[in-house]
Amino acid sequence: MKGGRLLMMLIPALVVAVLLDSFALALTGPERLFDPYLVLVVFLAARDGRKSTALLVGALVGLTQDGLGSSVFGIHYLAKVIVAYGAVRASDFLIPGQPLTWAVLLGGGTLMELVVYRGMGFLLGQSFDARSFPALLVLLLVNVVLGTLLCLSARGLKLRGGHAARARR
Amino acid sequence: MKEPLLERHHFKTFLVLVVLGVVLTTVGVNSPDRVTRLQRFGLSLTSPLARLGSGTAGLAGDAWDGVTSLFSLHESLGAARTEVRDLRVRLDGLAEVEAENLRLRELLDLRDSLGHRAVPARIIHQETAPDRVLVLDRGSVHGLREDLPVIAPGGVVGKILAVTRTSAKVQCLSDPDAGAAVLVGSDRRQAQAVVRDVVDGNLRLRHLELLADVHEGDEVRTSGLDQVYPKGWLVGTVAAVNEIAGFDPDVHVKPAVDLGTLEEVLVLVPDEPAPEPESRSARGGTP
Repeated sequence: MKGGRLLMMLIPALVVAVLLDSFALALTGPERLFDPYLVLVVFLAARDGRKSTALLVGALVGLTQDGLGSSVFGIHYLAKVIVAYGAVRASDFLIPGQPLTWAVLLGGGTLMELVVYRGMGFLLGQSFDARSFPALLVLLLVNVVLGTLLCLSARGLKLRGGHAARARR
Repeated sequence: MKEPLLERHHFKTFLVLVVLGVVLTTVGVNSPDRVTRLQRFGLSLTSPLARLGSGTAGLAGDAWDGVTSLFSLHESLGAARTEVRDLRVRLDGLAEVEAENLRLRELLDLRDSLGHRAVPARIIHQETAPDRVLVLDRGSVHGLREDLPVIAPGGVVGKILAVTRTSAKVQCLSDPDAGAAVLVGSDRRQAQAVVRDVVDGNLRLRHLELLADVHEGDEVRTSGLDQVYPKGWLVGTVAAVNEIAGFDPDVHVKPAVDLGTLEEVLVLVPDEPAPEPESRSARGGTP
């Protein structure tokens, strides 16, 4: 996907993600039970299938999240870049566009992000993710279920790249 | 077609971005105020959206609260309706109690004003056809016996026809076989007569003196000559006087007591206790 087209798609999606995230946080309290940024990263990365697109999407979404809701600038950027790259690599082995594919990618992405937060926290002596185990479980569940539904409902977007070609076949 | 440079070297790009992320995070942690220029820029871009999102959530929360309040109001309304229905039932019961209280008070006042001893009794059964009789919940154990007069606050009801130990049957004045000696007319000129027979719910005056001066609205009271009803009790008022040439005038008397609404009565009892039926039969009376 060309950079211009990517930005044309990414910016409105980011606006929606910020709105959705603020909406969800206002309803559920400060503890995040749904991560629309992660869904956006996984969806765009796996949908397009290009590693460069995935990296760009992960970096931009992570920076946006850092700009809004992080006290340590860079942690979300790092996590989203890793999740995006992991998602696009993993999607090479999965059937594109299927509900189970989205569920696996979203579940894996949530866990991968958690590992990044905890790992960086351990390395830097910080606590980037102090959520309880039940809260993490709810986050994982909601990300998988709601994220899969959102990804399936956004299937009308134009496909490009290797995954799109495979999906069309 | 040749792939773009970033796509060909995606892993190297990934590593560069990760290293950049680690550096950014480390700098962010070590920064004294932990707020970088980049962060301020990002915040200025995204905070209006966040405000819009949380504001929408606030509206949605208010709407949800409104919906739940509506459900709660609906439940409260149902409970209030049930309560109102129960209260209406209780109110109806209280109105009935109040009416009964009023009747009993009138009966009590009547008993206090009597020179006789009187036994209050409740009507437990009524027959309207062919005979007009009442059954009372008092009997011989309460001092009742045959031929005792039965009265109500409005006037004369009838007399006791038969008695058991705990109940008594009353023959009303409006019964076709009943009768009572009465006085009718104005205070200056009262005439003797007998009430007997019933026409359209009214009593008829029989054996009226030929020169009696009777008009509609005149009161008809007991004369005491029949040895059953004490003198002076109201029987009714003259409702119609039909003059028939050569015969007694046909006088109709509207009863003073409405039997349809009557629930309690007084039985006038002589001061000396009446002998029990068993003792009478023990002395050789008819069983």
